[in-house]
Amino acid sequence: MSFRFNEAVFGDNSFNERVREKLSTALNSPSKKKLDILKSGIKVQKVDFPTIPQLEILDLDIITQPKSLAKGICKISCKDAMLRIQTVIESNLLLINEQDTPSFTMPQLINNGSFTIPITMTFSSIELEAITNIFVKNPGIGISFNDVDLDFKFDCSVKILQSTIERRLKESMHVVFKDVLPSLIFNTSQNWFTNRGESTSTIPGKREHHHQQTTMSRNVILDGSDFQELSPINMLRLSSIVSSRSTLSLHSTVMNSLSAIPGCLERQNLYRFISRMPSLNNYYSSQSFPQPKSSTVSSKQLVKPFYCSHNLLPKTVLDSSQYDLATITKIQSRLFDRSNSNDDNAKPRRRKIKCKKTRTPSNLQSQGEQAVDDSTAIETVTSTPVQTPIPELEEQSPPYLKTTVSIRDKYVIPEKISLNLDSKKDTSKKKPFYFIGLNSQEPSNNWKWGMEDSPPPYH
Amino acid sequence: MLPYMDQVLRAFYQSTHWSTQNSYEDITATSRTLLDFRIPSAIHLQISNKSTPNTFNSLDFSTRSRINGSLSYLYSDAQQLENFMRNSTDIPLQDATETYRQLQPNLNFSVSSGNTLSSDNTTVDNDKKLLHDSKFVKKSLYYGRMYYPSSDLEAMIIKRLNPQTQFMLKGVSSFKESLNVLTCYFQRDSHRNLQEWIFSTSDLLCGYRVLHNFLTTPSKFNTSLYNNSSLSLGAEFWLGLVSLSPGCSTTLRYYTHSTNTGRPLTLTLSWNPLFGHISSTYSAKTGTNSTFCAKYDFNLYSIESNLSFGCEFWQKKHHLLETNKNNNDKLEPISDELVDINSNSRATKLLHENVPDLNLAVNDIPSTLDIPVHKQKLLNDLTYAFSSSLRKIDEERSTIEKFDNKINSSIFTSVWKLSTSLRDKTLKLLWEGKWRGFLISAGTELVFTRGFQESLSDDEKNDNAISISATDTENGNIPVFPTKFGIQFQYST
Repeated sequence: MSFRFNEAVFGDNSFNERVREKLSTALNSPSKKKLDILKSGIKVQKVDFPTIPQLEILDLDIITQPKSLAKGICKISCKDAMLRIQTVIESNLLLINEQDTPSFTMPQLINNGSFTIPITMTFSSIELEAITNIFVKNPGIGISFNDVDLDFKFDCSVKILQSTIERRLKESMHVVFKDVLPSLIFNTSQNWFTNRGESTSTIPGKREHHHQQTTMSRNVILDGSDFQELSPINMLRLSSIVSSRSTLSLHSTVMNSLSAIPGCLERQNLYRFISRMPSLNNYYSSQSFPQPKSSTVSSKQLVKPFYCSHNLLPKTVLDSSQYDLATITKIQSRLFDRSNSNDDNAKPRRRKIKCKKTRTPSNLQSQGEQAVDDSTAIETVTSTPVQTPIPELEEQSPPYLKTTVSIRDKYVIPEKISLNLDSKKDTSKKKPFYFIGLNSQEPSNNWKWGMEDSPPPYH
Repeated sequence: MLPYMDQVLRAFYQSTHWSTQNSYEDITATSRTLLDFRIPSAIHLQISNKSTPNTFNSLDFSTRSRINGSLSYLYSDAQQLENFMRNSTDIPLQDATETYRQLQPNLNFSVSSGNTLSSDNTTVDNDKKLLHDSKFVKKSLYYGRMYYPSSDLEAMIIKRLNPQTQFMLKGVSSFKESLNVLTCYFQRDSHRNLQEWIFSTSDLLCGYRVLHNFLTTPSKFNTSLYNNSSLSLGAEFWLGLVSLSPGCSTTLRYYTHSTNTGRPLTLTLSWNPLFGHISSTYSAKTGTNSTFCAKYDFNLYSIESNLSFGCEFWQKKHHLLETNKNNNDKLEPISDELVDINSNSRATKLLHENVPDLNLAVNDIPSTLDIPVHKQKLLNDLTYAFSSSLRKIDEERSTIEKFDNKINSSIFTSVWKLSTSLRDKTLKLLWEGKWRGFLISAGTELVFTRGFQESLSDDEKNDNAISISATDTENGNIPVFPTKFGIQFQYST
């Protein structure tokens, strides 16, 4: 996650001007004890932020404690900034000492007048990189700087003092980041928080800077106007997710529709989805057969992955020859319609296969009919379908294979459900059943919702 | 006004024959007192008293937003200290306030070849002094002061170790600001030189000061007939060991009297080589009731300059003046005594009276030696010429002494002090006077803001200053506002 500043603020010079004003008022604040060595106010001559400072949010935690609004870890970086300040200093240190000590014990010096020197200090190519902890609480914002990396070039107009000033500056920098800046930010944010209520209640146009503060404060916290830019549907969904998460209720997800989000399928609805899929297996297994074998088959079906057992005519049905060709045709055509809902004009190309009537012509006839109807067995992976030979029917083949005749068609339907039947392959090696939006062929990955590490909220 | 304890300190120096005019610290004292006089910043009351001949105490009150005060004690084992101390009703105003410092020419008669000029009386005096010096008893002074409610402490110890050296220790202890400062002075006065070694614990300041007096012996040539001037050169060196802040300055002072009127004048020129300050002062006592001082500051490096100007106007008691002139000594016995003490090395008799009376000698000696008449005439001419030149010296000296006596003898009731500075645009005003046994000083410091030039010119042009200030207040920009004002009362018994 990252944070983007409004570039327009930095585009014109107003930001630099504003920083310059703020800095000069802060440096010349009367509340601060004025140093004796300074003979005039500190004048900020030039401030330049050519690049936009970057604020990267590494971690954000909303509603951690009852009183705090947000807690986060941020990385602040700023490059190529420039700052020039000017002041007048007293070079006669003995005079300062004389003023500090009481006159009773201070020997009087002759001709010990003050000698002031104007001094200009330029900080160029300031580079700041800091990792900060931010706590937004109700009365203010607390920031602690953890890992500060500051580098700048220093240039002083009085060359004798340059090295000492630079050394002292670098020594005192950690105090600035540890004490001065956090307290400053906290105080100003406190002002914003408290002034916001005031300024809204008072008549507008009270003062110029008052206005500034109100606008600033609006940027600090999300206001009602900000929500208008977001789409209400998204907000509704987010709120439902959040509410389900906080209440642990799956009520919103368990609905009549299989999937709350269209086009997506949730894992817990998978079996329901499969059971509703129009397929031969479903149709015939749902019918109750008084045969003793049917229970084992159904249990096997439950244990086995579902893709092993779809659109196949169960053996028991075949054995008892309870199937009806008309229903089979209806199922297959529905399946085709469902898979081919994008273009209605496409018609299934049916091929009729003539089988040799060697043993049981009635059976074969029915099989051939089934094979003809089974033309919707489609493979998406291969763009150029391979013409596979028609498998010979064997007496000792497994019951599933015995019943199915796979006919490869030239249909390529992208991004749609494909029911693949491959007679050559073993049942365990069958190609997976593809779902919408799930593009991995590995069955373990297929049914994940979201990322591996972060499970979906209602798992 | 001098605080009471400073008066005691001055008396201590006088009684122990320690001259303060040799100190380098006071080399510019005249211009400092005329330009940078202290202005009370609150209502201040000081009640002092001499409880015993050796102990003095004083109580101070001042009110500025709240009542502050201090209590000070002083003990000294100096002899005859009471002779130099007077209560506030008796003290002459010129002694109670800091004013033009009159220096005594530093003529060391006792050791130099100038013995010829000194009379018998002075030699006797010198002998007495030497006798006194040989029996020099170590004198000391202890002083302590406690402020309340801040409970700060001030302490000072002065010890005269031997006739030429003095040790001084000053300390301040403040509990509130956790400030403890101790400063030691070691001073050695060899009459020609005064050297000081100073160490202070604030910033570990070390210092060395030296002042050298030229013209300690009277001129052997008669180019300047009466040696009424003094030339001194001094220097100071400082180093703050903690902040490594150095400081130094050197000053030349020339003090002389105008030969015609006998009025003293002082010139100083000081230079700070580190920071390039040069300041020159010229102070003159233009009459018995007026003093003027001008100071010009210039910085060599920054080319900044400043011109300061100060003056004093003394007011006499007119109706007493006539009677004063008639019997001066009886009315002012102490001041005469003071004069004697101040000029103890000076001959009391006029110089030309010391010249052996040749006429008498001529009357006696020629009878025995039988000098020819023409030679006798030559001798007479010579003596006349010699004595006339001596007479001239006496005239000069008499005018100077007359002027000094006139100042010392006159009773002043009040003094106005004024000082202004061009760069700082300030005007200081101070009135000091005596009223019913109280010494009162009241003053204010005015700062001119932007309307400085206009208001000054306007004041000069028309006397209608009130109307100007009224219009200024109407406009909302007051060109003058007082930064401080106050009044101080002193009473001592």
